Amino acid sequence: MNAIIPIDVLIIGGGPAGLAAALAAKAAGADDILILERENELGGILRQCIHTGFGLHIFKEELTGPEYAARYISDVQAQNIPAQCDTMVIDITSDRLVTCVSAAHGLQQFQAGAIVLAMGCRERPRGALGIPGARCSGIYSAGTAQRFVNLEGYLPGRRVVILGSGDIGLIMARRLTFAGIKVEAVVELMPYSSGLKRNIVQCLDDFGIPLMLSHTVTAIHGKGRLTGVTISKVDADLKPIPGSELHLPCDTLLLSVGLIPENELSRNAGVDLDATTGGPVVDNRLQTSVPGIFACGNVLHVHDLVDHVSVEAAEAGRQAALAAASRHQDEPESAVTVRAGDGVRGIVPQRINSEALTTAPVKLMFRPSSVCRNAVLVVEADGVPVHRVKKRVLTPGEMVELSIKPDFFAAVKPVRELCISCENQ
Amino acid sequence: MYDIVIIGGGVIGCAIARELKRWQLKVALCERSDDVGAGASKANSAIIHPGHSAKPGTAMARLNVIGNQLYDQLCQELDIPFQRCGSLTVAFDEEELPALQSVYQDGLANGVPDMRLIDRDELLRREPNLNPESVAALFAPTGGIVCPYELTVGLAENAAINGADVFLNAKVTQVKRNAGNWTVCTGRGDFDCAVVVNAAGLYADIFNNQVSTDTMRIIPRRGEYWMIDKSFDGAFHSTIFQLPGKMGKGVLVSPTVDGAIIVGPNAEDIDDRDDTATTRAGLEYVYQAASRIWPALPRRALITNFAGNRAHLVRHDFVLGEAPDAPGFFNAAGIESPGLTAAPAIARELSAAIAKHLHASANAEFQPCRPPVRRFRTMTMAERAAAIAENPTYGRIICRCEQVTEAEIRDCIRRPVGARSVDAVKRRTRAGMGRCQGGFCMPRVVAILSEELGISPLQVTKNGGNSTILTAKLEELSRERKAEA
Amino acid sequence: MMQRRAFGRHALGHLSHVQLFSDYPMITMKREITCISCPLGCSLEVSLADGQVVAVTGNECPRGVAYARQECVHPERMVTALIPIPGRTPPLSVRTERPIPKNRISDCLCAIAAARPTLPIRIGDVIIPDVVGVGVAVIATRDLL
Repeated sequence: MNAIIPIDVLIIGGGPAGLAAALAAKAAGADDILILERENELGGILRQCIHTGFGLHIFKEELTGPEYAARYISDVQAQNIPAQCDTMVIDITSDRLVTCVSAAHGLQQFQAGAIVLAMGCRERPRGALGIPGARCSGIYSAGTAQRFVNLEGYLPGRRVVILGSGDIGLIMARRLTFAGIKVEAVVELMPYSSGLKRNIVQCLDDFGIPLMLSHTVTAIHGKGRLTGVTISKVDADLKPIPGSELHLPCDTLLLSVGLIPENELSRNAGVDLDATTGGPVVDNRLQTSVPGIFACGNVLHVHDLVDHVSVEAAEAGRQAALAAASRHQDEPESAVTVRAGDGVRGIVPQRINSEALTTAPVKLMFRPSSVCRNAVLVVEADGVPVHRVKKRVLTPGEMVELSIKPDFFAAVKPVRELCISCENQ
Repeated sequence: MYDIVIIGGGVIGCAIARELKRWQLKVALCERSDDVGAGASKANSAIIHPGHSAKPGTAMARLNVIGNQLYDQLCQELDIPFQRCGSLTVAFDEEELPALQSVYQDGLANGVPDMRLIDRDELLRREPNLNPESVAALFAPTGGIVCPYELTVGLAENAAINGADVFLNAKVTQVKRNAGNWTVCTGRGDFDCAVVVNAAGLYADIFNNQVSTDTMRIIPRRGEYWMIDKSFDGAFHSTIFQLPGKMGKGVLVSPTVDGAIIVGPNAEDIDDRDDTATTRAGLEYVYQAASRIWPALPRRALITNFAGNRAHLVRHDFVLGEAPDAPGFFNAAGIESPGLTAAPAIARELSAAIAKHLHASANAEFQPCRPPVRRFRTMTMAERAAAIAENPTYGRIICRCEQVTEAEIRDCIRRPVGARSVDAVKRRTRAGMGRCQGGFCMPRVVAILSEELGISPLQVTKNGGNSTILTAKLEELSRERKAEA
Repeated sequence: MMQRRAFGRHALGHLSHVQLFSDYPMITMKREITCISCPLGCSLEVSLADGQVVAVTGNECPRGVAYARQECVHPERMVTALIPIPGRTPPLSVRTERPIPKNRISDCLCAIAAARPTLPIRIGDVIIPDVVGVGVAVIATRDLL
């Protein structure tokens, strides 16, 4: 086996999060950086997202995924930050020993000063939904179908039903329609779509593709290739209503039913995970429960916009560079826990350094539990309300950002817990 | 002209093919699917029964206990994962104690070794996640777990290495008498032979009834299962049985050799032999019944479900041997649970009888061992480094969830009776069996299959037949649009 | 409810062409669209006369009116597409440089399908200078060298 290679900042994943983290780490003074990427090119999932809608915040332009990625990749190259593609990380330990394999370099081990986890997320598969029925071909997650079409140039079917109205499913409805494929319907379990309104209008309404809310797929038919699905209406408890079954002939079922942060490696490293976000528990510096290991992007929590990923990842990269430079092992500092109260889920970060809270604004990100009109977000410090902010509408499909400012705490200094809740008015 | 044609490439047919090659015999095996082990052999509980649940005096009971004992050597020879994890048959209340005692007595009558009754304390010490209301259990240390499709593939591959001809996509349509011999008609031509072995599983009655007046009727009995995410590895150490009810042995919870947990099956008699669709009601029943064993079983841990159809006969015993009115036509029919456990014993007995019938002499060349399958995921770091140094494609991980490398996938396609479809690759290597269920690796596996088999990705299937994955090249639609323009 | 009506009137007041055509007999029609200006996704009922927006209801803010005027009169879309290059993967991905009229999407896709770009292609390269005569270029969104 090769000798263990020391490195200051090691970035796991060369997608939008990893690229932004690498650039920020470099800007913060780190010299010895390496990006490890499992695909044969940098860019991550953006490579297959050929639709527009990326970069409106950061570049003030409407770019496609490959264009957005290309801007970061050329910066990374200009900064001479090395990236090793075709390389799969297979283990990370809590003392930051990283093992990876590749055909070109064999098995390598890196001892990192700091690690940025930027592995992204994966799609929820059929099995996890427990849809009963045949095990025929023609059932794909929307992202797998997107890869087949946009990167490999193959079409997965001729007549398609999409389960779940997540953005990838909506985008694929339009892409397949453009390719001359009939999209029969998009079926959504919830009474609302988790996709952006813009995508519902421009990917479904434009082409007369029905969006069937409060419906789900209750059976899958076909031996060999899929021949159809049974759709049922669901009641308020999301249970299928007997008698409401409708048969839709199709040869393809795409699943766009949620994304799961990919944290198998994080778990190996002993990083504490948040059951709600599916990502690591982090503090306001995006450091996980393991000192020197930071997390950002979709591995931390699933984002709606890549622009937000880039901003978050830049902070993680900067903090990783500082951690690697100081080489100090973090001593336990006094931290305030952030708790999700009623109507709110998946707050990131989950811990805030007490001192940071009273010196500079700290940005919290979370989602409402359901669609909320005329909502009021309430910030409580140790049970005492310290701030209220009105929001016209909040939907689970769009992440909420809330800036926690030092002046909230003029009267009450939080010592243990900050709670964010959402009141419906 | 073959000495023997075996109908059916399930675990029974493949085990018989391999055993027959211990004699100097010309053996062919016809399988209707694109892979061996594609029927009930791939969709069952994946356990090796100790032998206390079969009725004393039956062929099932006898061959279960013998088959169980043959597993260590067989799996070693074929390099198949096998563990003697033991089994626990649990009484969940005092009322079940007489039934537990009766299973124990049956086990003694069947000759199951080393069984003992254990009390609640020991039981919960062994299995802390077990329902705390359990009162006692029968512990059978010879209970085990195996990977049934890898076993079937291993048997077929080893039979092929020893000279058996394995014909895939060769659906047998008819068995005909032919001047004291037999002709087996298949989709890939007719084969003349002296002996036919009917190991057709769910279809065994059809072939038996074509040649014999001693008719039988197979009832497809569907069993549905859930697989539990690997993060629950270690939740149970042994196979946990409930006491037998009227339908099958009831729902069990068992670790698998791959570090997952399987729960199931239910038992439902159906009409369509090929209908392996799962049902909402069946899966819910399995979940509820498994919750009796494992009260904390979380729904979110269920990663996938599947169903398999057992070949049930009303007489509920294996039908083995020559049909009384059809000399040279040997049945291995009605092989339902504990068929997987009994397979090596069935194969041994039946091939001995056939060899005797044909006056065959021993084959000194027989090679019982299969070249080991190198599995990246079970290698040490040093072994991995060495493997990649020797063959760089061991450094390219195709399935991230199960850590399966390109080298392993190419190897499983190139081996005798190699993989021809995405599911065949999955069964041999586990690529696509993990949490993401192939979302990541499937396009890559399609590309490798296309390259290795020299076919277009459009021709690659999930599991043979018309189970295509892709339907057109983007260029083709582009051409249509150009025509429109 | 009151507030919504107020917005409706407000909207009407800003449309100068309403007066212009008010002396003529008008063919009015109503269209229901979803506003995409924010997550609220108001359902707008848009009244049209002679192809022009004369009233908008259902909007909770003035952005709804602006959206309705754009969407019902001159709807535009960005178009992204793929051009397969024989023997190469991935296919070339392209987009319109700016949004084009929505009713030209199909023509635009046909024009893109008929394009035969020659390699090497760099991100931003013009593939079609003026697609279907709408004055918008189709450009490459990835390198294919």
